[in-house]
Amino acid sequence: MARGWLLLLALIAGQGWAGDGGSDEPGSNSTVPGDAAGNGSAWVGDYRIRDARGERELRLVRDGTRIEYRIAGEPIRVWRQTSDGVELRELYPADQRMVVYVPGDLRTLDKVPDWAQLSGLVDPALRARLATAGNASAFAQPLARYRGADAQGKHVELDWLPAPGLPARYCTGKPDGSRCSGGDVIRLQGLTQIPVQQAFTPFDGLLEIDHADLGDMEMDAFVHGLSHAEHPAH
Amino acid sequence: MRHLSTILGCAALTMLVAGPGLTAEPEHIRGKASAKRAASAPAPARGESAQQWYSDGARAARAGAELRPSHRKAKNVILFVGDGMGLSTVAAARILEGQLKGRSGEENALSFERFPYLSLSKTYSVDGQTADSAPTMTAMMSGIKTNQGVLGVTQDARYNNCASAKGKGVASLLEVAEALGMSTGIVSTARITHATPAATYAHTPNRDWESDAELSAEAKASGCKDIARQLIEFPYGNGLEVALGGGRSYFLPNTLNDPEDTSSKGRRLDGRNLANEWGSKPASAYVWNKAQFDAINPATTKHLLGLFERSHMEYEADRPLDAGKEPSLAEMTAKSIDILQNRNGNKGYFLMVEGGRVDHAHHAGNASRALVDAIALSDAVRTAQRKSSDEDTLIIVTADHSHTFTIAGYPDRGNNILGKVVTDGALALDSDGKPYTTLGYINGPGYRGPAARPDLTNVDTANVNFLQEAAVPLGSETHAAEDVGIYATGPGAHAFQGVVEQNVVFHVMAQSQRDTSFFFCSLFGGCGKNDKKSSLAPPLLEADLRAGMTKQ
Repeated sequence: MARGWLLLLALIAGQGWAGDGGSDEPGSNSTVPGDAAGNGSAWVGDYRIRDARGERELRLVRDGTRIEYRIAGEPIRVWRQTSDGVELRELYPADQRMVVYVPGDLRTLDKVPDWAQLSGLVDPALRARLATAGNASAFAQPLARYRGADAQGKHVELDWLPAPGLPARYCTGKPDGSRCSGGDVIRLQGLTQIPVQQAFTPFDGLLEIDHADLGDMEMDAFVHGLSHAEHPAH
Repeated sequence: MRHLSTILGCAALTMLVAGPGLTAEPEHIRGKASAKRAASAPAPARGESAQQWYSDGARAARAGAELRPSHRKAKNVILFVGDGMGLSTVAAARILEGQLKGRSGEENALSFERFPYLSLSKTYSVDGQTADSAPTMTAMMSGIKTNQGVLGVTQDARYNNCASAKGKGVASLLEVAEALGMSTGIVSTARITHATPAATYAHTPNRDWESDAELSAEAKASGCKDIARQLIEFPYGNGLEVALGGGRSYFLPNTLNDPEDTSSKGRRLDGRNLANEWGSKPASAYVWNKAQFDAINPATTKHLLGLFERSHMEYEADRPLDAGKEPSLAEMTAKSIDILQNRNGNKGYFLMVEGGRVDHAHHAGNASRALVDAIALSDAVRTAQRKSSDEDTLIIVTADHSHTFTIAGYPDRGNNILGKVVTDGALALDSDGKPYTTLGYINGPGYRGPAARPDLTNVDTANVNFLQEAAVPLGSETHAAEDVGIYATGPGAHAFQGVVEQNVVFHVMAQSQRDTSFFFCSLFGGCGKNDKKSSLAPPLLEADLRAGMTKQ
């Protein structure tokens, strides 16, 4: 279930989670500058992304404390800041179910996400190592261009929208190359700002299941199906 | 002297006769052992000596031989259940606790490992080789084995079929204790409606029917009650005195915001606030955080409900991070005993305490949290021992089932139990030249394939968030079918002998406690020479217990 978004985060724009051990880094729960927190509206970005599973559409919905990813063929994922840390909900509207990873579950599974990367798609550390390469505008927003290389030395181009804190375009090339190859990894296709009440998928009517309980729910037909779909890549 | 010479002479003769056989180790073992001895560093200074090993062993043997069972009846019974706390978990937790105290660890003993009586428990269910917590806890609380996924009903009830469970409820020891006027309590770090605590007070053909939101249409139509409601509407005696754990959302209506996570609501569809219903009774209280819990006066509180999380309570390793703050398992145990002792007069009490999150951490493939929670259970047992008397209180510690958790390799003495295997002072390497950890799982989320194993050389495997490697990819690590331990002390504990079926736990508790022993003997006989033949066939059904109470 959670492997899909991990794969996405790991492959498209840097390492957004710590992997084996030690993912409780300071600042991992920080919100993104320029976010729409507190004004009652949410950003909705429609993206075309390319990762190991091929090209896909991603709708990213975000306010100050919630981030929602919608990708066709996958459960809707909503991360939420709570008083105990980051919580993940995976929504299965067709099954009227919702699997909840409370903060303790994410810590136990070593899957505490980097909030900044989750909300902005691109690892902030990667953006910090790139050089500015001019300004423009796109989607009725000022746009900053960045160029440089990632930690592996691969050429990187990033077009960044500072106001929503979202990428407009991200691509990579070969090590020591001077241009991207193979097309864009992230491309924004539409950006809107809408009232929060209309932005996020409602939880109403979805029966909540704790992720911690899945191991004890093999007799439940829905959970049984989930556990056997958990490792599709293998 | 002459006598000793004779003995030594006989022993030498035996050795000579048996010698060739005894020394015929395969070459590879002899070679390996020699190499290991050659490469061994000097034994670390632990104050250990050959003389000490001998003396300590002899002392333990003498103590065992001198042990005499207590033939008194117990006044109180406390059952501790480490959910999923199999023998490998106990051994690893023992080592970790010792290492956290700055010692090698292997020589350490958890509190309950010092209990005098021990059995092994066969945990299979009526229809499962590897069981879940519902039939296993039903076995321990009601004296019968039953089917996977069902709670407090006989094997004639079918999973998820409410109609089939009608009239199949089996009385639990807690229910009988309440009916006999004893005080009762349940404590868990899991939801108080989760399978293990629920088996003490609920009867349902589906362990997941914890609130009315989970009930199927058939369940509603056939009149099955959800588990939280069964706790609040408990029909025996004056109801449970203590229920402490997680699971708040199962008691609150879906229109009410949670007090700790204010953007989440309760789950109940029937509009009832079961927590308030409990708290509104005379001398009763409902608390949801540690400050409220600490403020409870056991002398004036007759019934205490504590629901410290919307769902399960935090892992012990994460408890300091919780915004609402939670009491520890030991603190909940202490408060429970205080209340039960104040309430019981001379009647005694029954208390069940579950370390519920050992199981969840194992399912997640996270050994560190599982072991820390097992140590927390050991601390709670120590607290219970301190607050009760071995003269009148039977304490049993066991598990409902095991997990696929392993302790492997040839780590040196004192090697970090959460670390990589270090043999003779050097990292032990697999056939690809990569290090590996002592702890691991047969299956679960720790699977790292299908590519080659990761190189753990620079990975901190003792980090609390590290997932031990697993051989088979599964989203959740599974239970395992091997036996679990039963550790017992106090009146009646000596009945635990050898390898037993899991439902024997109920029968030992029932026969050891003064009032329940008399009750079951009167009902079913089998307790002595003057037995009269009973017209009632066991087990004691819930309906019969209710009917008996009505006649009273």
